[in-house]
Amino acid sequence: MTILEATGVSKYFGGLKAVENVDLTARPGEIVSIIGPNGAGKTTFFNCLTGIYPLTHGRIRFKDRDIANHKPHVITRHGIARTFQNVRLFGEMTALENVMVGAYCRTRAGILHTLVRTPFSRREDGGTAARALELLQFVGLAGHADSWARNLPYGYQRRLEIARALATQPELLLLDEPAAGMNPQEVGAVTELIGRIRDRGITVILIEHHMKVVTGISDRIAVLDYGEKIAEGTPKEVCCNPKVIQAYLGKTYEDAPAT
Amino acid sequence: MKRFRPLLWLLWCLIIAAPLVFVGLEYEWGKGLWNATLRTDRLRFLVSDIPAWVGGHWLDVIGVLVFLGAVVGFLKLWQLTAWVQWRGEVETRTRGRVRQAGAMIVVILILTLSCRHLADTQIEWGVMVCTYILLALGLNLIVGMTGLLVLGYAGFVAVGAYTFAVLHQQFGLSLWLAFLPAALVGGLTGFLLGLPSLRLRGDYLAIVTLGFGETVRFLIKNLVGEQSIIISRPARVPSLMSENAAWRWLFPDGLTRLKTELWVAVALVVLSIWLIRNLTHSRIGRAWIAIREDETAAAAMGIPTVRLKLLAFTLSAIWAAVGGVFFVAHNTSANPEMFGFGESVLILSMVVLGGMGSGPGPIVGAIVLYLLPEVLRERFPVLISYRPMIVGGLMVAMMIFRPQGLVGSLRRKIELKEEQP
Amino acid sequence: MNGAVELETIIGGISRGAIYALIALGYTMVYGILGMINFAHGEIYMVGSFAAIVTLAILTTLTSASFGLAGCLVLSMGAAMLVAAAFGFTNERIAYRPLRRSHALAPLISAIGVSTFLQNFVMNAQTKDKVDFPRAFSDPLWERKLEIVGVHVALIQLIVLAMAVGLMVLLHLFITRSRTGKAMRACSQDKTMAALVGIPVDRVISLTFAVGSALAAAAGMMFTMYNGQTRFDVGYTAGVTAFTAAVLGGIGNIPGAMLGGFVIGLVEDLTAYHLGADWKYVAVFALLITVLIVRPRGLLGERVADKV
Ligand SMILES: Nc1ncnc2c1ncn2[C@@H]1O[C@H](COP(=O)(O)OP(=O)(O)O)[C@@H](O)[C@H]1O
Ligand SMILES: [Mg+2]
Repeated sequence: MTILEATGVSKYFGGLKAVENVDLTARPGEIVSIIGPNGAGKTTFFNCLTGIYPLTHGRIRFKDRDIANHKPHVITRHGIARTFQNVRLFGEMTALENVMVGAYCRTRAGILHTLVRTPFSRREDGGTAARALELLQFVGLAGHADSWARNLPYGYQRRLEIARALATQPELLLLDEPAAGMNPQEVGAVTELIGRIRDRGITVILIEHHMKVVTGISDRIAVLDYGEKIAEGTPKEVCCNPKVIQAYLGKTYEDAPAT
Repeated sequence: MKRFRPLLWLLWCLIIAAPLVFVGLEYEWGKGLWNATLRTDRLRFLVSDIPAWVGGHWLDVIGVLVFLGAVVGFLKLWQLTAWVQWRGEVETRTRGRVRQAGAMIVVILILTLSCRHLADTQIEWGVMVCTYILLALGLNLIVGMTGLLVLGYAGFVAVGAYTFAVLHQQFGLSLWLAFLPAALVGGLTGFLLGLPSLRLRGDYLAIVTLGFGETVRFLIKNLVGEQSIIISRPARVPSLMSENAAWRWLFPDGLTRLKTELWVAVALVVLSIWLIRNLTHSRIGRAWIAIREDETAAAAMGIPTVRLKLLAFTLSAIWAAVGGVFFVAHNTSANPEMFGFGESVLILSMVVLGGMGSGPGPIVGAIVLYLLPEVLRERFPVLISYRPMIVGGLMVAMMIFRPQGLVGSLRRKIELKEEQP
Repeated sequence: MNGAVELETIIGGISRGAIYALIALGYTMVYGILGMINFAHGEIYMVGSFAAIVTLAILTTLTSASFGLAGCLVLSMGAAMLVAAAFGFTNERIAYRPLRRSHALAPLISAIGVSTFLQNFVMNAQTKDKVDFPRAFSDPLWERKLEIVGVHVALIQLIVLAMAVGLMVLLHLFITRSRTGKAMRACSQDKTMAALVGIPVDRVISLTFAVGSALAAAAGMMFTMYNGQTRFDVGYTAGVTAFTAAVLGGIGNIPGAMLGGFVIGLVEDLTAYHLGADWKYVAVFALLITVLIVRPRGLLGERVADKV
């Protein structure tokens, strides 16, 4: 039983093979981490999954439906949501409004309903706001609903992005370095948040450099290097894999000076 | 190089001052020998006209400033009570809505009571200012909310205007029945233009719409004709109600054409404000703002960006078309030259001046940029001919010093206060 | 017979195209370096055309045209280029530089403001009517016709073509050979990196505006000489046309702008010849839309994907 099945995903930029023939599967309720040095193609892989870049080759199946090369908003509607490595909030909106935007694809009031603000659209909007507040609470931003997204501290912005993604009611959440640039305390909070997201029954694919986060909560880890997947397995297996050590340290294990 | 710096700056000053020679130079090419004479009267407007106005009419200048302050202040108050702020959801918003409705009622009451006494020129101003408010509100949907620069807005206005003018000419269609077909044709034009062009990046879209505006003018000239179409309308409108005493008190000399137009214009503006307010606070309005802020992120959050941009484009074109119908009906003639690039820029500058994306911004913009020069026309006749120049300078100044417009900043201020403990 | 007329149209088109190419270069250079469309560029061209005429008037009045025909023309072109360069420089300083970090629409709107301002400034200060280029300077160039394989070509067409091509070659050498030119190319690749390696980015941007504007002024003067008159609003049409040329060639791409200019000139003159002068603008616009939709990167432009 898999929820996501990517096979042979490749993305070339001209001559640069940013992602080359990567396979990845995720089972429902799992946390899968993707690690790899900078420039390995992790973000590009996410962009392929979410339809932001067209694939060069490969197939992506989500809940037994082919979603390769679909439009981003269609993929989101199918149930994949994401955050961005470089936070991309809607700066001139409040935190609450940011989350409410995420609910767009789960609401239905059309233009005629909204123009004259029929009871239906009013009720729907009220529901959206209530759910958005609940999500803000979930990520720990309850007191900041009316703050401008751009004025929030960086750590809060990252969490707001997660709340916004959750508002699309995803079954699969892609997190791109959610703990980047955070202090140990915040890292702990994010780890705990990811755990709670999984407990809601949402599958998570996580790109992360903090090994504490990755080894702490991942069920499986995939390692990318120069666009290719060089290893996959449980945290323990991956950490001892000589190829992985070589990718990170630039030397083979045997060559390392014996100290 | 450093040593020549002052020299270079001097040279630069000289060259920049050189165009002033333009101002004073009258040349006539003779038979092989040209006489250029410096005509000082052209220099006057810079050297003496402006100081003379200010000197002679300093009371007026102060009056104008007070008027501006009052308009902005009123709208700020309005905004303070109602515009946005989701905290405490229900109660602030209803309270805001009550106050807003109150403000509307006050405006309408003032209008009703003063209607008796309004002179024709004043009614004329009222009608035109409402038309511009309508147009600016429509343009704000696309430029301010969705963040797409449209430079050919007058093209959409022309489409609506000419739909009415042609139907009127051919079938004698009256103004009241013209709104629907004009809105339909306008919306369809917007939709058809948006379909291919909304995939383009922002600045390309601006150029395409600019070209569109010109093309519409060209097509009208070639298909309909360059001459004006005269729109005849009865001077007096038969009233639908029985004329009781109150009616006769309100309209002592019957319901004139101008007065009806004023009322229709006010009604259209009120309706537009309500509709647009609803849109702003709906999922669709939020999606537009999201697209403006970050299109890629919006798409990744499940917003069908192309479809929503198309919707904004179409709605904005509908507003333009309705405004256009009104524009020519009031003007009693339609001519292709009425809808040039200058008109597009004027409407755009209203939006920019008032505040892109803010609710009341376009209203302030329209009032300041249309009503003010019009009201001051008699005292400062030059103001109308210098309006485009002033508008151009204002657009630059606004972008540099107050990009959020005259009234668009309140949200941020409240926010800043909150942030500081 | 007809073939000859057609050929003459083509030659006319090419020499006008050379002028468009000169204007298009300004759009493309600014786009390459700042990533914005400088809507006010057409107005700089218009200012150039007026500056040339005013300079001629001054020269003939003060010096009784003692520099001779060629001397006067060259001097006035130089003056026009200088004035326009100062305008372009000032334009960037006042209207664009403070907006470099603000939201995407701000510089565009500011540019429209500048364009409206300049147009109406010249209209108010100068005249609403057309202004003639002195016939005594342009007529001799029109009257002298050369016959090349049975086709009559006016001297002015050759001069315009030669000057435009000459300026383009100079620009090309400047950009590829000189230190400053290299700095320009570096800035258009990556401003931050360029600043980090010590290139004075602001100064390079100013220079880009000055050079682009000078080229536009040269085009403005030649076009006025060619057409016989100018008006405060010529910058608008010429600007859109030249912008189309820049997009057609691939915006940001300098050889592309030259190629696009020639193509547009040809398209315009052939349309005018076959369908009537009215249709010129429509043809240009139709071409612009087609290019933008079918091949937005233009003939010579490269494809770039936005990084996410
Ligand atoms: N839009 C793009 N155009 C060209 N190259 C790109 C683009 N996006 C990413 N790349 C390249 O692809 C490679 C992988 O980048 P990325 O996926 O961001 O790495 P990671 O997220 O693993 O650090 C890098 O070399 C990057 O420069
Ligand atoms: Mg990355």
